[in-house]
Amino acid sequence: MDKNRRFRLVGSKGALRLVIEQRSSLSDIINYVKIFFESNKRFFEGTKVVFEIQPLCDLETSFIEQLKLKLAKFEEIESFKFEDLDLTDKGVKNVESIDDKICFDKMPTKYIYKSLRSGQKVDFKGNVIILGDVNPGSKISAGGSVIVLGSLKGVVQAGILDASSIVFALDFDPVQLQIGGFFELSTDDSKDLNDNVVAYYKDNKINIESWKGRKFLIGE
Amino acid sequence: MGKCIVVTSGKGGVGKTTTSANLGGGLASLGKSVLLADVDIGLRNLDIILGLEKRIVYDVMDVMEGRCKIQQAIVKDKRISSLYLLAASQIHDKSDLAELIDRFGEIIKGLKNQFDYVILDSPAGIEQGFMAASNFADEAIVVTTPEVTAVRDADRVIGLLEAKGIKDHYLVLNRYRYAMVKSGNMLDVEDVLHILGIQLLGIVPEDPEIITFANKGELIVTSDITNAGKAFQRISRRLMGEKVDFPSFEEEKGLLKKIKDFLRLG
Ligand SMILES: Nc1ncnc2c1ncn2[C@@H]1O[C@H](COP(=O)(O)OP(=O)(O)O)[C@@H](O)[C@H]1O
Ligand SMILES: [Mg+2]
Repeated sequence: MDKNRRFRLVGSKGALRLVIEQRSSLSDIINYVKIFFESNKRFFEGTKVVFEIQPLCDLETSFIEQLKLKLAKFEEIESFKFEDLDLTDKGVKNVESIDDKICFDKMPTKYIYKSLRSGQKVDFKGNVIILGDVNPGSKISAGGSVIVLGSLKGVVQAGILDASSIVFALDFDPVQLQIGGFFELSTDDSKDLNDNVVAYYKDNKINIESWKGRKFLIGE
Repeated sequence: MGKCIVVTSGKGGVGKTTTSANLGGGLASLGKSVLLADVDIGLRNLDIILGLEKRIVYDVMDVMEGRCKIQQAIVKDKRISSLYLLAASQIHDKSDLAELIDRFGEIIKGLKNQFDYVILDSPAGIEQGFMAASNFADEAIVVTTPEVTAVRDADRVIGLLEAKGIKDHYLVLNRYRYAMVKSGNMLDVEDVLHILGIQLLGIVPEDPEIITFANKGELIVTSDITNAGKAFQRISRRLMGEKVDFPSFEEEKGLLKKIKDFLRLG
């Protein structure tokens, strides 16, 4: 997802937030949301989410109302939240550093006690901890953070419902990485960073850093 | 009670039939009674590799559909006395096997009472027939070549085997080319094991002699002078639980060097 887009969906504390940075056409926005739900069909199966709308530009109330009416047709959306959003934060609270507290408690955690092999998929609306490898050709879609106590060589989509999630791997070499709606394609220049790596979203991009020397506080 | 071992792969053409036949021959040469069953229906060639195609009267489908008794369909190998073959049908297409799956299970059970090893030469893992073959297996051997696509597909098949509850699975790495690995143009053993994470049963080098032997209808495992033959002998012994060292990369390099030196002198 490019940085210059006029609107985007961001996972936000268990909800999905539509951040509209610049005025756009209704159909463009609806189409974007539609593609998002379609490409994450398995993830949203059987659940509904709170949908937040956050305009960062001037939009008439009638525009918002029309948008809501159209969005209401998506069965994945449970309810809308609009009025009492904290408009000072830009959609996602930046994780200032990984030393910041990352709250695992906000979501349930699923443990997987084996490696994911090619063709296998995990969809979970919370954090996922894998005691094994994530092999090429496998995929994880998680609402929260993904911790891989092994090699990460597959595709990871983390933080679908919370962009302040992290991805950690003992051996970090994903084919593709996404956190909270932001993509990071694996690049060769990140090759020298392999062991104990953490990825998180900050300043409109995904940061990939060595874990070394960090404190990781879970919960309270 | 014998063991049923399914030999499979993700990709086709990586050496399942070659491995099944030579492993069967290797185990039989070590004194075990072995039945090789060709389950790759429609693509039969185990009988050709063994040089037995002229002796086939009945096949596995004839047994399943009641046209003959199982004993009538089992053919004895010409050279190795405790090696037997149950041929696949060439006429039926693979979908037939799925319908007769329960009957197939009974046959395997009966064969396990009769032989030390029942080896199933199965179709590649994504094809129909793989499921039938692996349903009744106690252990699995996954064959792959050191190519990225073959390894990826092997990984998928191992996932399917694990889902079926087959926990004992071993890897045979076939068509390994030491020179190419050394020059960095081929995945090495470590790379492959790092991804697949299963027990390595053996490495079979690329060896043109395999094709020569197959064309003669002879098993290369009976040859003590070919690299592939020796590799299959080691694989057979390891499967029987013997601890057999893996010849190191250095040794193979040494061998190559010797050959090169020899050529230079000559
Ligand atoms: N290690 C090897 N070196 C050279 N040729 C090989 C080797 N292994 C297999 N082959 C050849 O590759 C082809 C495919 O092998 P086969 O055992 O029939 O594969 P599959 O049963 O998986 O389709 C055959 O022609 C075989 O002789
Ligand atoms: Mg074959």
